[in-house]
Amino acid sequence: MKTGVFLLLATALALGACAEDTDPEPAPTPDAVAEERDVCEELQFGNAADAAMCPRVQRAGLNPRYADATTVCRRMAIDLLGRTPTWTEVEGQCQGKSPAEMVDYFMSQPEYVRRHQRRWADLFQYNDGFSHYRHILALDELVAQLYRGEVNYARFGELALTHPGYTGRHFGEARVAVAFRVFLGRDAHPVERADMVGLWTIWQPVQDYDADYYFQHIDVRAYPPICQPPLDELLCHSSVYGDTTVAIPLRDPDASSYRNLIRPDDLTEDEWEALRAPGRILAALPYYNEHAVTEAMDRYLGWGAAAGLPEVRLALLRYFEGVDLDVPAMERELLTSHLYLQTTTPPENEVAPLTGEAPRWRYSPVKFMDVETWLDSLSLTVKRDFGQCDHRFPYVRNGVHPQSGQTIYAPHAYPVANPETNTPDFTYATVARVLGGCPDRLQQFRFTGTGVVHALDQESILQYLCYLPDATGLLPGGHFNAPFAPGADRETRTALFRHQIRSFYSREPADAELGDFLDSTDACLASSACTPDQLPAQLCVALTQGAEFLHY
Amino acid sequence: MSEQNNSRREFLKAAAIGAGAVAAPWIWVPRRAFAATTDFHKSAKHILVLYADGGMRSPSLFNADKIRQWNPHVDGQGNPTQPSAPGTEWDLGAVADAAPLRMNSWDDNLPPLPAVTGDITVLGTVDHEPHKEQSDANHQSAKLRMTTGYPDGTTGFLAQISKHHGLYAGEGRFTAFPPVSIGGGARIFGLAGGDNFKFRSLFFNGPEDFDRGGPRSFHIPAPSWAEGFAARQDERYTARVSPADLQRVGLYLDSKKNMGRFRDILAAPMLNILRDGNVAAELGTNAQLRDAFGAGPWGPRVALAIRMFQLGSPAVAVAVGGYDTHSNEMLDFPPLARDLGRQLAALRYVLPRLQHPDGGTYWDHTLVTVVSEFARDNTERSTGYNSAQGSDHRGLNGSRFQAVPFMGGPIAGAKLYGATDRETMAAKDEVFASQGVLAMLSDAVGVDPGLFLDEPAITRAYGG
Repeated sequence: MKTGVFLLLATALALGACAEDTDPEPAPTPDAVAEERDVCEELQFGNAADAAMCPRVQRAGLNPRYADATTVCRRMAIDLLGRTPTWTEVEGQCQGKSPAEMVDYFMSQPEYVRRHQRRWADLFQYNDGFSHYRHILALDELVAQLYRGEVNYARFGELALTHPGYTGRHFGEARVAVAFRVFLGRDAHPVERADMVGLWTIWQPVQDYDADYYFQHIDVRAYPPICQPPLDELLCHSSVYGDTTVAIPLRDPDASSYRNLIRPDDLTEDEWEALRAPGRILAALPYYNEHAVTEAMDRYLGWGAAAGLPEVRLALLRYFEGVDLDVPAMERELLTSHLYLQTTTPPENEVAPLTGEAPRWRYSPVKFMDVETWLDSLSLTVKRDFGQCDHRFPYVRNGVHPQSGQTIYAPHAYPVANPETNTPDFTYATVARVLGGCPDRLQQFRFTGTGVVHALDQESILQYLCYLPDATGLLPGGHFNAPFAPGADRETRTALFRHQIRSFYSREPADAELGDFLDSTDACLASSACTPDQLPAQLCVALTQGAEFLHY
Repeated sequence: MSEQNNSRREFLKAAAIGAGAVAAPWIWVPRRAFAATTDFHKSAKHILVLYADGGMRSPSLFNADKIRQWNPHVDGQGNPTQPSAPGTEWDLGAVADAAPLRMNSWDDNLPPLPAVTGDITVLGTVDHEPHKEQSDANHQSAKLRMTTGYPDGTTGFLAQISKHHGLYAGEGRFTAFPPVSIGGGARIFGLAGGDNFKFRSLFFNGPEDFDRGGPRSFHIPAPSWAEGFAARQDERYTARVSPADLQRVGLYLDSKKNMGRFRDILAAPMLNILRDGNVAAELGTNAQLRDAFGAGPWGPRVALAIRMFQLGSPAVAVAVGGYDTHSNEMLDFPPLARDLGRQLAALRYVLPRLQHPDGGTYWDHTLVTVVSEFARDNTERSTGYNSAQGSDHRGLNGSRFQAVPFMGGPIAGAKLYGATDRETMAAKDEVFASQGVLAMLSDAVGVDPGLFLDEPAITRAYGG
């Protein structure tokens, strides 16, 4: 039952036994600073964040405090894949493995890319009521390229901000505002909005008819006549970050010709190069790269780590720039640092002078699962697939076939209710939306909620799932092994309990909780208030409603 | 505020700056009143926001004496308006229903909207960006302005009520009935991003959520062994959690603890408005609510909103879509407008007949308004429509100035503030910032708008 102890390449542990410092920290003398720096330079860290943390760790005479393998395994799976790990993964990919090996496994799974695609769908606010679904598909694939390491972050911004999936979704000053919020972490100042809106003026919405799906939609086209002299300086120009006019030559000297309304697919590379100026401008701003690091730190480490640990942020930024803005590489560096790998339990007897509590960076925060992670984890564990949400399309475009009169749906990733018409099954999406997931990004945005009624909804869903007659995942052995027969004897109940703790909490049961379960069910069975075949579902509800399942 | 803007606008006209030219840059300094609350602070215990999702052509209902370009919804004789209650200063549109409706369950007729205009005050020039030559005409940002106060707001009005209202202090967080959004378009009023997640409003699609039971209908009482075990399991877990994290974990655990009480509330027959359950007469039976509010897009949702007030919620937003009439408006708008008009008439009828637990009636303690993202423009002078028989929203006079009605006990009624020119839809006098409407609603229910908004509350709407 005892799990392995983590070792990092960094030799911080070689610093010796933890010398806990409970007194207010005296200011270091120049010699002490020089000694600390020398010590940190002597130690050969294999991780930029760990190297940056050395002065804090060295100065306090502290050692890193690592979480056990199963805790980190669950944390990584949820953060990187959007679901809890299977016990097979815990045993095969986590226990006895280094953090780097674990991260490499999780980042190699297709769910890693999909998780980020979902995140960027929220950031860009995909909605096929605005953008043509083909453009959303293409922009979503661009995100996948970013997280496969096929395009670097600067190029990604340059491509994304003039992608028709983006320009068709946002209009006017919103194109500037969203770009700033997504890539710089702040809203554009009104001066920036008013000035830079001209960089996107050339993109105009056009009503179009999609012959494949028989419906009208709004698409976006490049319309060069609007950016010709004398209006170009007024409407298509920005000066706040260098004089830039976004314009391309007319295709036809007659400005009113339809040839001057250019589909994105028909633009040449030279024309695209001219049109992509807004993305290049943003990518060249000082905070562009740093925001990617800040955002990753806050997302994975929590607690405002980026602001609280500026030296780590700077070190990771340098690392990020050193790997040519490879986002997966930067994330890997962060995820293999002791800041990410440490336990959530605060150290005893370590007190920060100002707060009177343990320094925030000395332990990892407890995070709360988002809705789709919760649903997908339940689905995986109960072994009942109840669908998914297509992050690209909150609702699916459809049109009426002129000959058959049938309503036909555009391609999507929802379960299909009718293969002939590709009708999506929104059961999962409907449940997820009640709890804040699968947002349409127009009337609803993603939220991770809690509250009385939220808990009520979750309870209903949990009970429904746990009491499904074919919830074979609740039993040891599952669907493909010899069937497990719930029994009243302690050995059988212990096997059931161990299986569900492993499945839901990704760890071995502790003696105290196992004893509690056995004693509690002893009494219930003895009084005939419950029967052995009821125990799997009842235990499922008790464990999945527990705070430990939802938090990680 | 309005006088300053009007003088600037007049100045620019005088300088003959042509269309499309860049206006002289201004610096808009929001006027934060010295005292963020007003004499009308806590004037209501409940606020009801009816949100016409999509950009309603509100002048056609509430500021209707305009040339056809701005109000094409005329009667058979070509009149854009119809007679209304004596003393009413604003012009009710011809599009509203004029006939009383028979309500058997009340053994009475529902007086139509023209009969109750004397209890409604209208602000005719509610504008998102009074300081700009063209106002916000983007659905998303304009909707966020109307629901959060800001074009990129992340915390909706109802979430702010949940966050700051005294009802929710301390244990009230788990026992007082929260603010409610009804209808998909109303969700955005309950937006609660970041650390404000716990202030999210309750959401229902409509009474249908209670008819089939919805996700909360499935409940199997836990056996006592499981209840005890689960509680001890949570104790074992929280013993390992840091004090900093215990706040978030604790919120979840407290929510679980209080689930039972809300489960009972949400199962009450009074919420299953589509059916005649056992409902105490003094609450108004479900049949009576259905009779008054009707079965159209609005009716069942507004009826549900009344029930939310009766459960103690201080603020409800109800949304109905379909108002984004870029085409076919001639056919699509009138039924929606008539249904909306019926809700105002029904509220005027029903609320005074429901006794409030604090004394008086729900009419005395409720403030009602109707808002949308914007109004509509880009219409031909001769037809009042665009080339697709609809109308658009370009941020010019026709769409920037919403005509926003207010009614309820605190409102004097019959008044029009913020007139617009019959020919051009230009503002003739006062212009009101849309954020000020939210400030007014917040102030009315007892929450200091200065906590989350820049604009002061618009007290003119109270009239008198």
